[in-house]
Amino acid sequence: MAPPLDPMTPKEIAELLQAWVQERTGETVDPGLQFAQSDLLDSFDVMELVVFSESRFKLSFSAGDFANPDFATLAGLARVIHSRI
Amino acid sequence: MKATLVPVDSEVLQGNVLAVEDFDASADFSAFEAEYLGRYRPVYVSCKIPLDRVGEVHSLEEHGFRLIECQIRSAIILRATTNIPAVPYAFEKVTTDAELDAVLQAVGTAFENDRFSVDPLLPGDVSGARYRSYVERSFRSPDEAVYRLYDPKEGTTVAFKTHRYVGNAEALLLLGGVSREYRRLGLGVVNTYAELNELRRLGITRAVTHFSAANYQIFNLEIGRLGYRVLKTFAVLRKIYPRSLAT
Repeated sequence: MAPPLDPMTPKEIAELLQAWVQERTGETVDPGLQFAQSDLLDSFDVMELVVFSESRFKLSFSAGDFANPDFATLAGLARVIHSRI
Repeated sequence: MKATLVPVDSEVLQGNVLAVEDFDASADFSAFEAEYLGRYRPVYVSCKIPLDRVGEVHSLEEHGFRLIECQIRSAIILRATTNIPAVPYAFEKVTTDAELDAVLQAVGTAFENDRFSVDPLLPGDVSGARYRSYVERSFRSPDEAVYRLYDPKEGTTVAFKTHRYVGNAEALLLLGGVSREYRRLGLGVVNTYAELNELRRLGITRAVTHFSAANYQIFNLEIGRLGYRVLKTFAVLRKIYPRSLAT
């Protein structure tokens, strides 16, 4: 039986999310920058980022996740995802 | 040209608020102003002019009015229901006073770009009080409705919408917003889609809305993403009168 794959670290997840944003916008986003402070991502982009994350990591975010202040940055979102996988 | 009393705004500003309608640059505005000052003693008067009538904007400016908002009227045809991403929230009509109270708390932090929030001459707490009054009015009006996006487990309200049914399968979208702590997490999109789906379910085929051109989030969402069509743009001007002149 093949050994289980190493789980991604929060940093690796953040890099994956950054790559998704870069592909979409053509720009690099500071992973610590709040979505609300970014001119690159609007509410529609963030919704699609959430959908992408749920699909990629096979999870469903809870209302508690949305209420978590970490949820509002790429780095924080990566930590939330890491805690759920 | 006529001046109409705006009851909700008058209550919030604790003085008469008027809206000038059918502005006519060829009429004697000074005489018109003297007439409404004598009759109402207002503290705040606004007037909405189509942006292509720049001469009328200048005419109002000569009478002491100042630009306070660029407003966009837009519409969308509701052709098909949109699949909304799965989120742990439900969108439902507000039917009880307890639910309304939860929405009113969210309303207080939801607005930043409206002409009352951005006005440097008005106190900072006016906008929230004004919108709470409008939402409460929608709740009590038979032809209007208040909806909320909320967490069914905890009961937390994160966003809201209000609209008015205006006949001919058309709705006027009035207010909407997301609580400050949930802003820019995608819930504004969910809230908007859910309202349009609900209107379509009720047989509405066209929705009209107004928003400030300074509200880039709504501008990008409705025009850029959802396909709203711009119908008309307006300059909204206002004049604030000293309270010593008011009743």
